[in-house]
Amino acid sequence: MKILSLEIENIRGIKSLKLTPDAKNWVIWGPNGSGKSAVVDAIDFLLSGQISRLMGEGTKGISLKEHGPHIDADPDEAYVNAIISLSGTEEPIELHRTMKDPDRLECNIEMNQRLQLALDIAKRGQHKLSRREILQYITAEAGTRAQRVQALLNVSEIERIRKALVSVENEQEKNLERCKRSVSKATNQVTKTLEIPDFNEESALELINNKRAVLGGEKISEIKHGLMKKGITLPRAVTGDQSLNVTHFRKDIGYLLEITLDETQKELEKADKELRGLLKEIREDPDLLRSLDHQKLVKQGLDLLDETGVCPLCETPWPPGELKRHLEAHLESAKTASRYQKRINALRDSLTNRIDTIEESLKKFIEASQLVGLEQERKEIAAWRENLKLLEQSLSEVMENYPISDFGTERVKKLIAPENLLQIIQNVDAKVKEKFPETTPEQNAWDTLTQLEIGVKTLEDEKELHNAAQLVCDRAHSLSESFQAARDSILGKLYTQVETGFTKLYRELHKADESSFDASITADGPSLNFEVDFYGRGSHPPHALHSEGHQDSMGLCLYLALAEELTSDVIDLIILDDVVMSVDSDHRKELCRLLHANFPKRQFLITTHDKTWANQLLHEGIVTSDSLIEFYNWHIDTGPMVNYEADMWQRIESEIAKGDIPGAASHLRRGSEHFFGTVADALQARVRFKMDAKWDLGDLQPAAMGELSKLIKKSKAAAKSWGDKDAQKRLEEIDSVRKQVYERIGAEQWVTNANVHYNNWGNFTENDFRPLVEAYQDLYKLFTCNTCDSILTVITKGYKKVGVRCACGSVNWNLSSKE
Amino acid sequence: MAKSKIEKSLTDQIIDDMLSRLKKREEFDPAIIDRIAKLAESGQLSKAKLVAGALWSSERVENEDSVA
Repeated sequence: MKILSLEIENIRGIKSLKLTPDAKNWVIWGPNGSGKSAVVDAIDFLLSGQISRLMGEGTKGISLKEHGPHIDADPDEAYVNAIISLSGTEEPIELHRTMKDPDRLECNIEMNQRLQLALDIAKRGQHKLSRREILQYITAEAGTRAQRVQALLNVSEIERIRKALVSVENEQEKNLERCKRSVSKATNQVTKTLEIPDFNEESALELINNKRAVLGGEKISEIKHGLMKKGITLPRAVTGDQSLNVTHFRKDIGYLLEITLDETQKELEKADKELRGLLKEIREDPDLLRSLDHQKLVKQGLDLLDETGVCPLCETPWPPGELKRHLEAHLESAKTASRYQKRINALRDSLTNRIDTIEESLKKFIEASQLVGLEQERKEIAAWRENLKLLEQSLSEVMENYPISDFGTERVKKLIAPENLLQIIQNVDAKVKEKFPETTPEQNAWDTLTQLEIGVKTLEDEKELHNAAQLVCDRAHSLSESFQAARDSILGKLYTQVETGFTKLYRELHKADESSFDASITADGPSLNFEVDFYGRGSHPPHALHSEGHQDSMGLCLYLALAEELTSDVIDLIILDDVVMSVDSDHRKELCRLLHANFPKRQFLITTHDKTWANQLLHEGIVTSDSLIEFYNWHIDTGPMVNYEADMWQRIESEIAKGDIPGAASHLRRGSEHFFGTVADALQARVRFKMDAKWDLGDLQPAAMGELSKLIKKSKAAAKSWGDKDAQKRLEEIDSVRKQVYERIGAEQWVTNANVHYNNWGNFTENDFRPLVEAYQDLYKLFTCNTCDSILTVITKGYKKVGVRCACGSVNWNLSSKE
Repeated sequence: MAKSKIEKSLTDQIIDDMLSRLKKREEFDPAIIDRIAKLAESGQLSKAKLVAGALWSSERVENEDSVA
């Protein structure tokens, strides 16, 4: 995308402005506050519907609606209109956006993918660079720099996805833990029903077959819920109410009373106290906490390592066995954390198992209390059960939630049992005795098998759920790992390309002093590390040792390298908004050459308050004179005061036409002083030294003219020595033109000699002054390239002048003769 | 028309790479990969609940809590 023409009405400080860059580079220069950045704002608004300067930090109380339109203008009077060219689309495209409806971009063609992509890039601000942004790239901390670069890369969406996938991973891990505990709980229930200490398939099966034998059932060979009562029938009921099995009820009472035993109390107190202590230690030691997190990651890494030795996370190659050793060393240092984790889990499981053991008994006791009509006892035991659930919940996420402040050590010791537990049990037991008959062995066997049927079914279901949870947990790990590996791979490649591009550009820009410069740009988790070589003395952050000017040029090179990767072929416009403030004159010249050589397809809009830099851009051929726009002043009623014809000759012409010869003379003299100053510098002409560095035209012009004569002569001699007839002929023609122009300047000697000083030009008539102007125009042409308009420059090897070239390479004189 | 090196956003490039990695993992069947690809296409890969739903999609056992 390039801008062909731009029309701005009532945006920011601009009242009404029309510019026609015609897809070429353009420069807007003028003093601070002349409205240059308002043009950048207007382009920003047109392409994105936003003005980035009105957003972000430090913009509280500023809004697009109120502060986007020029002061006193209504939003419907404020708009930007542009004709653009877009690669892949033949016809120019017209874009229009008003402040009244900033979200709506009017476009004379149907929105296509390429245009949408260009607008997306513009929305992220990838097409423009300001000095503020340069500092953010260079002087920021690694984390902040990463944020800025990532904002430019639009990786916030990538980060959102990563966080979501990690959250899924964590959630599924927690679910798997819950499932594991449910399996354990269901297993405990079965062992409790069978009255065995630990679950063992063989002994469990034997006990089940014993119960079945009581009811005349055949032996079964596997523990499945559907087989528990297979082939047996309900025994004939004895007299009385059979809704409660008294034998089972007594067993449940036994489990509940176990809590009050001294031995159990000591065991619970010890476990709770130790658990609280360990958690306190971990929470007060950030290193230990970090080690716990790292340990998980390192273990995963070790699990995923294959024989290639390549890192499974970022695919960085390691020498065989090296990464394994590295990870094992990490794991070793995390052993302390690992010991803590293991002990905490063991204590948690011990307390949870205790709760599981009485959970089912409590449920049955509550039912029994209800059956015998003891409401108060029922309520107290139900409250106990609810408390236990809370305690279990807190234990299930032990690292985060244990202990709950409500449950002090004393209460946990008794597993929060009511003080009068013994009395409650006695009351309910007495009533049960009165109401329910003793159960027969057949009924006991039947009820046990019924309980087993339920318990085994629960266990089967929990195991199935656990297996599914394990599979999904594995998937969640793989998904998160694959995403992060893909991210590291894609961003890693991008950073490598940017690093290469940045280093190349910076070396070109500073070839005189940093030809072996090197840099590294690497992602480090959420940070982006950026280090640069300091004259072969090691790598340092870019703002550690380099000067402000070097930092500016680093920021510029980094941005250009990023832009090349992010916007190339889609949005060719690059806006450099006052970005070379601290770069010195020599490096600015190199910067012009760098832009010329590396970005020929781009359209640069460069704003600057520095007239010298604006002229350098003109003389180095980055812009042509008709693309150099001067904002010479600003007023609230008019906006920027624009000199559309910033080109000196057009200005002189218009002043002559107005009869303002003194004005035209002043421009010719000042302009020529600047021009011949640039020429003298480019040709390395000898100029009389002045301590105050105030050289005037009398110092600069003769020096430049003399040097050009010498260079042509030297080049002719070189061409002759090499037998290069074409070059000889071409240089003869150039020299012939030079002589004619010099003669004309000589014919006007009366106006340039010391007797009639150029200070007197202002007193001339139009007829006197016009030939002078024409002679100077032809003189200027001798020092510039016909093709690219840049000033001819001497190329040196050490102190030796070896050639003369222009920016585009059309002029290329050899100065070295055959030896 | 010159093909730009940025025709695909970085996010899309990463997701393509991720999907090709997932295809090599035995715990992922094509139906799940398809669901994840569809979530990515509709910009919903950053919604944890939907992603978890996709991971559970081919399991017979329904577990409401786990899809939180």
